Parts: sequence; C-alpha cells; structure tokens
Amino acid sequence: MRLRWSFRRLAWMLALLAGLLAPLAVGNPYYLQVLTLGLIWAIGVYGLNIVLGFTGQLSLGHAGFFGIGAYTVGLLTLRVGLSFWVALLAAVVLTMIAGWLVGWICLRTRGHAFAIFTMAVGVIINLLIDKWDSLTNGQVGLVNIPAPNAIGPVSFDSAQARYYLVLVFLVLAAYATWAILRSPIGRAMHAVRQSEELAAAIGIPVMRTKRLAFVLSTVFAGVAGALFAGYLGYLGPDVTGVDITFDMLLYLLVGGMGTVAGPLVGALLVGALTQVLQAFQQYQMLIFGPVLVILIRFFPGGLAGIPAGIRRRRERGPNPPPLAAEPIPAAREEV
Amino acid sequence: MLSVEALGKSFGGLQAVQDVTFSVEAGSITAIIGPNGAGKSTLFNLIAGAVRPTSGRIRLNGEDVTGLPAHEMAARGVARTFQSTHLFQEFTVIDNVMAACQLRGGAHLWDALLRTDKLRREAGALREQAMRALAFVEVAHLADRRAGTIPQEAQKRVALAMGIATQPKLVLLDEIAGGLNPEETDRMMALIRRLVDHGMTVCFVEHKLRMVMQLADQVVVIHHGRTIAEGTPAQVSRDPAVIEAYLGGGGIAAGG
Repeated sequence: MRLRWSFRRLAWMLALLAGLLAPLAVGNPYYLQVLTLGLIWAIGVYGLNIVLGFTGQLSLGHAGFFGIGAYTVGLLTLRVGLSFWVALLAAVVLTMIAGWLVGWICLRTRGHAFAIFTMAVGVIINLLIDKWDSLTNGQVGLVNIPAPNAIGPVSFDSAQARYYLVLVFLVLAAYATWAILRSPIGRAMHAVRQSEELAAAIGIPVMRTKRLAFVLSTVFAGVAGALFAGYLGYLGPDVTGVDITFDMLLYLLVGGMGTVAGPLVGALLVGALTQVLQAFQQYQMLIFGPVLVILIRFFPGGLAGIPAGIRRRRERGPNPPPLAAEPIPAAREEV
Repeated sequence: MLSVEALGKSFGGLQAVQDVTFSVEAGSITAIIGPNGAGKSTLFNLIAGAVRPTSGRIRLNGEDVTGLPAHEMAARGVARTFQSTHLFQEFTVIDNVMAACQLRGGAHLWDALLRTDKLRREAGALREQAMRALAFVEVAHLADRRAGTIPQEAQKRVALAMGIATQPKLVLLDEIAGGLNPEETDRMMALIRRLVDHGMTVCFVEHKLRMVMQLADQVVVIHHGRTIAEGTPAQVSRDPAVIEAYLGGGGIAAGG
C-alpha cells in the first residue's frame, strides 16, 4: 500500500517536472501551442470528469460552457477593457450561474434524456454566439484579445509565459479533482453514480449532489474557455460546437473516467495522435474509430484506469474469507 | 412513533396501496406480511420517502412527514434496506458504510478543496463510526474488500450496517433474510433483536413465517393494498381474513 502510494506520487512529480521543462525542450512554437491547447482542453475535461466520471451524468453541453467562459473573457477585455483577471473571475461567476440554472432544469431528466437535453443547451449556446452578431461578431469572431495582464514583474506576452499560466490552472484542476475524489463529497458523487435509490436511502441529497457536480463541471469548462481566449487571442463560434464536446468526451474515455490522471492523459495522448494523423486528413476517423473501440472493449476504465482494473482482477481471484458458507439454494427456507 | 393513516399510492390506474393504516410503538418489532403483490414493498417505499403517496398521512413522532424525499426521511431517522441486496458494488465495504455515516457529518466543498482540519477530523470520525457499525453486524474483517466480492449473508449485513450508520430511530427491513439458510436466518434474527436492544424500532417485511412468529411483537397483514389484520402473531394467525388471503379466497376456499 505504502509502496504503491509513493509510486503514484513519484509519477505525478515526474509529470510535473516534465510539464515545467517542456517549453525548454519544445523549441518549435507550433508544438508549444499544441501542447498548451492540450492542457487547456484537459482542464475542460476535468470538468466533464466530475459530472460524468464521478456522478455518472452524461452532459453534452460542455463546449457551450467553454464558449461562455471564452467569450466572457474575449468581450470583457476587448470591448470593456477590463483586465484579464477580472474577466476571468467574471467568466467563473457567469458559468457558475449558467451552470446552476441549466442544471436546475436539466437534472430533472435522467440518462439519455439528460444527455439530449444538455446537448440541446450546447446547441442553443452555439447558435446564440454564432448569430448574435452585434455582441459576438458572429462568424467573424473576436480577434486581438489582449494577453493576460502582467502580475508585477511577470508578463504574459510570450507564449512560454502563457504556457506556464495554463500549467498552473491545470495543476489546480488536477488537485481539485483529487481533493474532491478523496472527500465525502466525492464519495457521495460516486454513490449517486452507482445507485441514486440507495444513495437517497442513506441520506445523500441526490439532486443537490448532481447539481454541485454539474456546476463544478461548467466552472472548469468556463476557466478552460477563459484561458483559451487569453492564450490564443482570437475566438470563433466553432469553439462552442457539439463536436468540441465530443472531442472532450473522447479524451475522457481514452484517459479514464473518474480518475485523476485520466483527463490529462487523454487530452495529451489523443491530441498528440491527432497531430500525427493529420497527414491522413479526413481518414483520421478511420483510424480513431477502431482504436477507440478496442480501447473501450479491453480497458473500459481508460488508460488511467488500467492499474485499478488489474488490482480488481487480482482481488476477484483468490477465495474470499467467508463469514459462513455460501447459502446452498436447496437449503433455502421459504414459506 | 410511526403512524400510517389511510395511506394510498396509485401508479397510473393501478392502485398498489389503497388503504393502509397501522401504527408502530417505539422499541417494538413489527412484521408486515401479505401475499406476493400485496403492496408491502411499495408501503416501505412510501414510508422511506422513495415514492410519494397519492393519499393518506405518515407521521413520525407526531410530525407529519408525508411526501418528504428519501434523504430527508433518512435525516429524520428512518433507515431502510432493499429487497434485492443493494450495495455500492464498486466501493469497498467500509466506503459503503462511510457513505451512510456522512449523513451526520458537516464537511463542505471548501473543506474538501482546502483539506481543512475539519475534513481530516471528520474523515477519521467517519471511519471510526463505520467500523463500529461493521463490528455491530460482525463483518468488520471484510472492511477493505470490494462490496461486490463478499458472500451474500455478509452483503446483507453490510446493507444493515449502512442503515445503522445513519443513526436511525426506525429501521425498515425489506426481506433481509431472503435467500438465507436457516442458520443464517437465526443469526439475522439475533441481530435484529440487538437493534431493538440498542433503542431502535424495527419494521420488517418477510415471507419466512418462523421469523414473523418468533420475532414480531406486532403483525400487520396487507392484502390487495389494504390492511386486513393487525395484532400479535398468535391473534393474526387465527384471523379468518388472513387465512382466507393466504389460502385463496372466494370459490376455491369455500369449495375446498
């Protein structure tokens, strides 16, 4: 137990070190941008992980909330001239409110209905941003969004500096995921995913738990969107598209739902794979599809879920220390 | 402590429970029996708040609790187990019980994110409480096993431990001994008596007549969603309406 713990800690330390050194190793600015965007998506996927991986609710409006965060920062810095940090805070508050309102309505539905309902919300947000020309510039999008304002001597004008900014938020997202997972709240979320009926019977407020998970997920998406706007400096309505939601879902499935490492592993790996497969253009999906099917078939817990899967298989192996003999069906007493 | 007055529940056109009235004394054991489909499980769902009644009243210690949701009923001291053994399969045994202990805890999101002392203290207290509940039902040695991998009797005991962990006043057991052999059933009966010794009130639904006769202070008989008899086991077993309900009423009974 102790050993496994330190292994895990070591892996995280190495990952953090790699993250800190990456801009030095990656000379090509294009690759640094790919990496930074990968980390931004990972932050959004951490949000999806809480609502889907922890609580079991398939929310397909995620890119919509990403877009709300992105456009809040884009519009407030560009049109109102607010500082990036104030705009970031506004993005958090706004996605929180939007998430609460949408969750309040959508969470009355379950299963497929919930998935379709939230997808419709995503589509509506996408349409609003796309068609509301006077506010969002429509298809043209927003350009020349200023980089995050300097904090004292630290300026974010260089791509490297913005990479580190994103890295800080990624670490916060991973930490929050870990902290929630290990807390009573995380346990309540996992309980709700496994059985709402039983969760309610032992006093877990199911609706409140789901709503908390939903709002947290939209806040993560909003922060990711805000960073996206501040990092790239331009923004179009396509970032709120349903296909972006499905990209994030793909990262989560590949990486491993309900795990701390999953969103990061998935976003980086699938992101890298997309880059490698770019040469194949429209045939990309022909390769992606089968890889995903194989992955889900053999590693339903995703890549980050593999150690847990092995542990579980080992557990099932040897005979359990019985309290008493298993009941023999013939000896059952029925009246 | 519990009183159920003219309780009814219809699902669309189907009247699952139509007129059930009985009351339960604090510290007693009440058996609820009736033929299959009589509405026993629905009745438990109504009392536990899993399903809202369409008519009638439920009072708990004088407070009208009709229509409160399940987690509110749990907070008011009503615990229940389900007919088909129901655990969080992916959790370890201790996590199952800790999830139930949390009801009386008070750590919030900020405590989780900032990992406050309050959270640490509570985590320790939860584990201790959960271990006590597991020890009470004598499965403490299985604490770190995954819930889906332990034997059936142990699963039933864990389900009971989860109920106890919510610190209930009233415990509803829906066929807790279903699928257990006679020895296991005896052990379960001893355990139920210990619940009462520790100040809990018990209501159980059961098909095993031996358990009903030996354990219950009071028996409530339900047939076609109505109470048809209420009394001690001895009184109820002599009741003509009960005999008719069990042996088949109408022409067959008259003819046979």
